[in-house]
Amino acid sequence: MQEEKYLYIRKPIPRRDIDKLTGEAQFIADIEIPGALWMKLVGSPYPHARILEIDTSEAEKVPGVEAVLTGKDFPFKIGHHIRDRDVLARDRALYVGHPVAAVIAETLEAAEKAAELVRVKYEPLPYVLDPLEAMKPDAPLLHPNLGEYEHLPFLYPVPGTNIAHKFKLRKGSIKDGEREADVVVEEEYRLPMLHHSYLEPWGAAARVRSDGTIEIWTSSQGPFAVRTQLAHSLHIPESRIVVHYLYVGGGFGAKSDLFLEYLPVLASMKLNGRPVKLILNREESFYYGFHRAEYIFRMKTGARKSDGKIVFHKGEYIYGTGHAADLGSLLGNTIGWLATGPYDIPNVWIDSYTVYTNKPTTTAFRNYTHTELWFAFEQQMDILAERLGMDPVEFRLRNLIKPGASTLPTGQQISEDWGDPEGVLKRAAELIEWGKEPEQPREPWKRRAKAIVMAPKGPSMPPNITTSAIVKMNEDGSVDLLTGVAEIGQGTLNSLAMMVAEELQIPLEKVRVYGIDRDTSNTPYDWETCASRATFAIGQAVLKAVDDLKQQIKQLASQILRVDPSSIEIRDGKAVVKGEPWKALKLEEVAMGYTFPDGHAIHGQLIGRGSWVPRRTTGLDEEGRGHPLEFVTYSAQAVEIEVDILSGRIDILKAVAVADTPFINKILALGQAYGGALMGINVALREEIKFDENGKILNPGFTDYKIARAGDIPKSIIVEFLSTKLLHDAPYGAKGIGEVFLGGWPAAIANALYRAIGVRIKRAPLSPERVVEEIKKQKPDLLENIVKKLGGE
Amino acid sequence: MKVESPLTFRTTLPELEGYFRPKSLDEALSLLSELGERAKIYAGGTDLLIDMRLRNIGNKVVVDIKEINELRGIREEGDSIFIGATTTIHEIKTSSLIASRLPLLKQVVERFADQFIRTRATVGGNLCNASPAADTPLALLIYGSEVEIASVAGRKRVPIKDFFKGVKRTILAPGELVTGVRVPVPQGRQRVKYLRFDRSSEDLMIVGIAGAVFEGREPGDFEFSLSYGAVAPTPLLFKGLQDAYKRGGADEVLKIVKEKVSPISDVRASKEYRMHLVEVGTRLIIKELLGGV
Ligand SMILES: Cc1cc2nc3c(=O)[nH]c(=O)nc-3n(C[C@H](O)[C@H](O)[C@H](O)COP(=O)(O)OP(=O)(O)OC[C@H]3O[C@@H](n4cnc5c(N)ncnc54)[C@H](O)[C@@H]3O)c2cc1C
Repeated sequence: MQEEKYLYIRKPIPRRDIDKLTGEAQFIADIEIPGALWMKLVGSPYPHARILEIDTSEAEKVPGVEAVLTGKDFPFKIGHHIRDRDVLARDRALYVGHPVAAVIAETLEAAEKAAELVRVKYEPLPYVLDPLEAMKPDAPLLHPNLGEYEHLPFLYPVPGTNIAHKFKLRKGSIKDGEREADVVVEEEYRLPMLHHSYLEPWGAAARVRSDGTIEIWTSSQGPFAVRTQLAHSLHIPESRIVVHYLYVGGGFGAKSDLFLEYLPVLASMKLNGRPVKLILNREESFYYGFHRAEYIFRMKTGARKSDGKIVFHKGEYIYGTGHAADLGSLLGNTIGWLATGPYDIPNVWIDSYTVYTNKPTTTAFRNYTHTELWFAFEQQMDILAERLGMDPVEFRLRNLIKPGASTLPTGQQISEDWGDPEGVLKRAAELIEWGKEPEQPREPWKRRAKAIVMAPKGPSMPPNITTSAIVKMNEDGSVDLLTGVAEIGQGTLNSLAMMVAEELQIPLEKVRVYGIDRDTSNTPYDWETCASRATFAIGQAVLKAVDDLKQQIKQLASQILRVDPSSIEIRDGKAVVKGEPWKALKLEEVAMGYTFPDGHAIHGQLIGRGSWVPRRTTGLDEEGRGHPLEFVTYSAQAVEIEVDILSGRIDILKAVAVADTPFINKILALGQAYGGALMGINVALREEIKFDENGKILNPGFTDYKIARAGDIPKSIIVEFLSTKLLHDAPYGAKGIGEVFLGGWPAAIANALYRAIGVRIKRAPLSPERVVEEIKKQKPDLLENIVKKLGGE
Repeated sequence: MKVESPLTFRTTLPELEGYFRPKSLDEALSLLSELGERAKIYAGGTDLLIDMRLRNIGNKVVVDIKEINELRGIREEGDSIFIGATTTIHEIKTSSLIASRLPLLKQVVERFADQFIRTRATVGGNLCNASPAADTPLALLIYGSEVEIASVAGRKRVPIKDFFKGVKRTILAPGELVTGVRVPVPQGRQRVKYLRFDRSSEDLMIVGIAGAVFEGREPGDFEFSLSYGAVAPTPLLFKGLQDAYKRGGADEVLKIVKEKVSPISDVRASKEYRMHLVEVGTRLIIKELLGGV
């Protein structure tokens, strides 16, 4: 492909959707629905308790209260992947915060006041907060009826336990591997539950119209996903549900599936269709929202001295999903098949467990288990390299998958058009100046070091998810593009507009993309904005739709100009006969069909349509065999850090990210890269939902759930996009980039810390306090010597 | 079996029984005297509004003091500097008078919250909120400041070290208002250092340590003080540490300090980590301020 021929693609084109700057953007809290009622939830103060009685009489007396609903009002379970959620806790509350009642009132004030008057009698029950404890045979059971829950076919719950899903992956023979290994590293890594920290707390409103249509406004990454999952959960046909698109103030995975939309929907059904609004505040987002799971990775990996090859990898990957696994079980699946990263390992044995605990529930988090797995796996790699006495970059180079030759542990071939894993690693090494020792600071209590890790991302999506697009021409030759994409801040609408303008060679201003003025009944289907797929997948549907439109233009023009359609090309907003540029029709002359001089007309409005489904993917069988990946975006990430041994604080002096993919819009691509890097670095250093011993959240807000601020941005972030291969079946060869830049930082920082001071931290985050704690455990002399230098005893 | 009050989280602010915006100090003082315990003084609101949303306070009548001119501004008055109660942290941070005369206060406010908060938050609010993790007291304590308090009964000045009574508690009685803080300007040369440990930039402190060396008239004659935040129910001041330092260096100073600090474990840090920071932070400050002495 000749790159330079593009008008718009690959160019740094500023966003045209500036509604957020002008204040015109409408978020859920801005939506006014006449007659809307407010809902307020009442949470359980216990991590696990039998609900003996709920007294709502005092609450009902508060002026303005319309209803107080409890679990009894909804005697069924809901869920899409596994039906394990109560609408409101029925017999038992399963975590601190579990909604046991919902007050609905004329005003939020009245609802809040009444919520505080709901009286619940509980019988506290034994509970379990730690996933490893939860897996023990005598652990208190969250879901004694797990065996009876309806679930999708590829999930494997283990009845009588807290294991919501067990995934197995087997390749080769671990015994053979163990026999060949000269060095074996066995470690355990842990990552805590995280909040997605979207700026806009989640909210939704719903009403039932007199014709029975359920209308929903929600802060969602996937209006269609909400529709599908709600329809399935409540046994309602999809066509009866209409979900409106809104501006979304960030999602990062939390808003990618059905959230709590069912609460206002069911409440509205109970209240003769009156609109009901539920808008969470930040504390409620922590208690009622969905989080990133906590993870425990147990890994045993062996390598050969002679050639530095990894010969086996055995893993037990544990995903603590909280009290429900409706969404978590899929992630438990992904950590399973992702098992060995971008390395070619002949013998693999993985068991991944999705485990219930008495905590809030979990869902997708940007980079869908990759960041977490890399935290473990890429530390494992550095430890192995050290034991083998090899340079960690060299060690990785020897073990990387080979495009066209290697297979994933699932058996899927590594496709050549996915790119060049070696290339990204080598380029990252150059950019961080690998091999050149960092200059050490003057203060003896500060040390610097570098590290590099691999951090690819393969999107995890069901094999049959589809998307489609419609382009229609207007009288003036402009084009409207209609897709189901949810714009959650990433700018996809802009990239899609660029594609249409590029293909028709018309000014960008002549393409109008439907943003929030849409709902699921008037747009083509799209699964959701997640898995780094919006531009990639919808882009393909858009290109097909534009292609369809172009065929129609050519067909029509050929009739008018009396030439063969194949001799017509579309450029500069015209249909032109090749080699005879004086024979041309402006697009506005054919947009509504063509009218001949005598007034008779042909064809009518030109409308193109296109649909897309992944071509390469399949489901996985119960041994984990199959083709889960449409593509992989290879990436390597490197850091130079400075650690203050006295305070334990880690500063990132330089961050390097290399990804092997071209992009559509340079500004938006860099936005994803910088945003991803900052988020990933923050996840590495600061983020953790802290629970007390009774399962109560200690930091349900940004005072104590720490997000990096301006002063924490690394002094130097270097991002490079390689373009070693153009992916087939992709818009202009571009793969997804929404998540990959989050990937390697926690692992890279942990490895760099080890290289700086010889302290290995296998538990995230690497907070200053944890660093000091680990120094004291692993290297007490280090600290003591520095204190001595400061004039201590 | 247990009946529990439910877990709910307020979004709204409480309904107010009254909101007043007096234009003069006298008007404010008579209002406060009339309202007694029902009144809540409202300056920048950066602490107050949070406490109101979380229903940590029950007061329902708000007296907004931002329009009282008398309470605003930074003035040199003889050998001291007067900072009005509603002077914002931003104003202190950008004052050249503060930068040249009270460099420790300047260092302290530079680490205070973020630009949004600094333009709202006031020094009076910072003192009266009496958080153990408040920044400005650490400098004001070392300079030996006095808090000026007014009520319908009259005015008084209280040494700042006697102002704090405990976590979120001061000596203020209903009807009283802080009009400002008077800070004596050190006459000799001063070397100052503020070390603040936090979890991100623009964060509340985990531990804050301020140190100052005020040089006397005679060569080699100096006064050394330290103050600590977030390691006890109130900010702690240690004055006159020079003798201990001369006797036994940082070890001797730390002996004195450790007798009084009593950090707690909370969501921000464990007691052990806070003690560790007291230890290494004190040594770092001593090295920086006295290392060459
Ligand atoms: C995001 C954020 C970050 C923060 N970071 C920091 C930080 O880094 N360091 C720090 O020290 N603080 C920090 N704070 C706390 C707060 O900003 C400060 O304590 C601030 O100085 C309070 O001043 P204010 O004018 O906003 O007080 P207000 O909220 O108006 O009042 C606080 C209290 O003092 C009383 N009061 C106020 N003025 C008077 C007066 N003149 N006389 C008598 N009583 C009075 C009020 O009744 C109330 O009880 C932070 C707060 C937030 C929200």
